[in-house]
Amino acid sequence: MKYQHLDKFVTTSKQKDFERDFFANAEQYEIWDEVKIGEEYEASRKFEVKAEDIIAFSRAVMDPNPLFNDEEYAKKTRWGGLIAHPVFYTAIGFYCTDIGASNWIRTPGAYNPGQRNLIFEPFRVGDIITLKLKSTDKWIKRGKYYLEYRQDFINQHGTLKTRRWPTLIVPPTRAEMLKYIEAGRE
Amino acid sequence: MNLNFDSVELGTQLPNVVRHIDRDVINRFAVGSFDYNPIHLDPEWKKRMNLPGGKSNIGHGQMTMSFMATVITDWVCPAGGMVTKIDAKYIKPVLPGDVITAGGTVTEKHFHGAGKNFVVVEIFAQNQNGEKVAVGEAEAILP
Repeated sequence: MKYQHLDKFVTTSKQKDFERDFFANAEQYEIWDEVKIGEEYEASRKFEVKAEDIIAFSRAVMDPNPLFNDEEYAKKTRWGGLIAHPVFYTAIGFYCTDIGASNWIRTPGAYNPGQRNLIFEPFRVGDIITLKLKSTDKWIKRGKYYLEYRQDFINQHGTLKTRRWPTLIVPPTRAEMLKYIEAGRE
Repeated sequence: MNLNFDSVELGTQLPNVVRHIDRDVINRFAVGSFDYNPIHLDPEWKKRMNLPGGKSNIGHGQMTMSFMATVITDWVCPAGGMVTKIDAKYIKPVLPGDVITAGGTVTEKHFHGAGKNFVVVEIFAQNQNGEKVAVGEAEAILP
């Protein structure tokens, strides 16, 4: 397992089993110049929200809010149980992202200049989330290549919990992306 | 006075959230978010790449976003409110050793009726030198 020094932070079953090599199978990723705007995908992996997932994310963002950490406290609130920190979608998004097309967030050399996020309902214990993705825009500005896409997080009852539009700055071609992979293998 | 939509005044500054960033903080966020991008984690790889942050690994933008979200949730959750929107642009990388202060100011009130009334909060995160690392806007429903 890559990054074994991170084992001390692992507290959930999902974290234990997750592939940490961001570039594994990266040759199959879809690259900026291949993306067609309007393409839609559904991630094959689903995220079943457990209390340990919500609590682990709260610890990762150093947020001690009892609504995100203390089941007994949360039961007495309007929510009747734990809710997740608003940025919990990050954990679901990365966990569900698979290899191949729509794998833009894992593109070697990509980084994140900003995003828009709408939160309709907090994520709750028992939610089984399906991640749907759609490419919405790509452009060049000041020599950088931008990709914007939409992520919809939908639970098993068809409720859209969060919709967001991440933006990435990415390598524009497969040849450029491969430079980042090869540097990691040196 | 209990926080509610009627009691909020435009210009209200929310209490800041301060976070000290080191490699363990970044590493813990990587595990918690499943974001193992080497830009955050692999020092040798990062030194060879022409990416933001120079030769240093950088903190996750989503980590900074989380700190700004906490500014809002610390304020509205005890009153029974919830965050409904959060947008951000990342201006400057967050590096190990940085001390990040996140804060916000109420700039708008939207009157949509009980249970739907919401406020707009301009949010920011800055480092120990007073340099903005992120700016954005959030919305939150208040009872």
